[in-house]
Amino acid sequence: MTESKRQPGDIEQRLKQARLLEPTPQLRDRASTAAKHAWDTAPAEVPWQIPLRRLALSAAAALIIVSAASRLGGLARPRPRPGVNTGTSTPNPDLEELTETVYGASWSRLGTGLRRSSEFGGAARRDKMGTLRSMLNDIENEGTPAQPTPGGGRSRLLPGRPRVGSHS
Amino acid sequence: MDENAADAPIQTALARDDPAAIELLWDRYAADLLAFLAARLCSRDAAEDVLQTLFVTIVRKRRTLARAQYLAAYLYRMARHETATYLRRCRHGRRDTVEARPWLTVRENQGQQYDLAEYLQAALARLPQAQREIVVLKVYREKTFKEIARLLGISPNTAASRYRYGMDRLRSLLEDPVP
Repeated sequence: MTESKRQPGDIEQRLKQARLLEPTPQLRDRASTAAKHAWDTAPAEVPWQIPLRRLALSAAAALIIVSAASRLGGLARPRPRPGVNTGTSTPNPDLEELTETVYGASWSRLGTGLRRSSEFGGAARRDKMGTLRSMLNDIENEGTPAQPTPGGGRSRLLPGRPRVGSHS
Repeated sequence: MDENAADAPIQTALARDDPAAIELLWDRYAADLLAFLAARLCSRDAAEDVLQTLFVTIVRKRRTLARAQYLAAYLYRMARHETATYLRRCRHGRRDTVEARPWLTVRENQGQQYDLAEYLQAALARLPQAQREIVVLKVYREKTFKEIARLLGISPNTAASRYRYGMDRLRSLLEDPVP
């Protein structure tokens, strides 16, 4: 018989030369006294309250985490300072300037439309504004636009106005 | 089942909120639980401390224990939990808990008692915990694999194989002791 196939009986016999110590009377007194004290003082756990207590603890923990995250998020957001443009909702200075020109009402409507439109990004809006501003300057300086409108007709954005010098 | 019938008076006393349940529990389970705790902790003092704490916990959970389907398994699970809590609090491992007071003793008619107890204890302490607790319950408390399996919530085959692996390891340790 090989070493590994030997029955564990021989080792059992060696282990049984020793024995485990039994609980002593002193230990019994100590444990019984502590248990009886707990019996008299501490209330017994009610089984159905355990899941409810865990649920309440989880809800409280979730509430604390959410409120802490909200508060920390508020602290992390930069506060608006005078003279510093931090928000995206700040009116575009270009548009503000344009509303003070003779076509103010039209520019104001255009600006409002552009702000509401989600298909215009920041760069696209600036390009469009640049194009429109150059067209407006051309109209004011020369009386005719440098470039024809894409539709070939008159822009609907520009209010109907007689040509400069056409009336006398 | 016999075990459940033997536990019936204890569970009845627990359900009636009768403190006599403590004495009944002690008489029936203290020796087995102390052996189990000593096997897990490799320390007699620590096992006694945890046993005392366990009885306080039993008192707190007496209503749950009164309804437990298999009281012994519930008690062993509580003992395992208390052991883990104790070790977490102490922040030291198994080897650090082996101290001067032995948890094994030898019979009075044998010479070199202390040396033999130390020798067997040291060999048992080198086993993995899962194997050691089964070896101790089988050898020193004379439980069957079926009983051990029910107490620890494992299959009888698992209990038997852990015991066999433990014995193989003990054989190599006892025949070729590592200094």
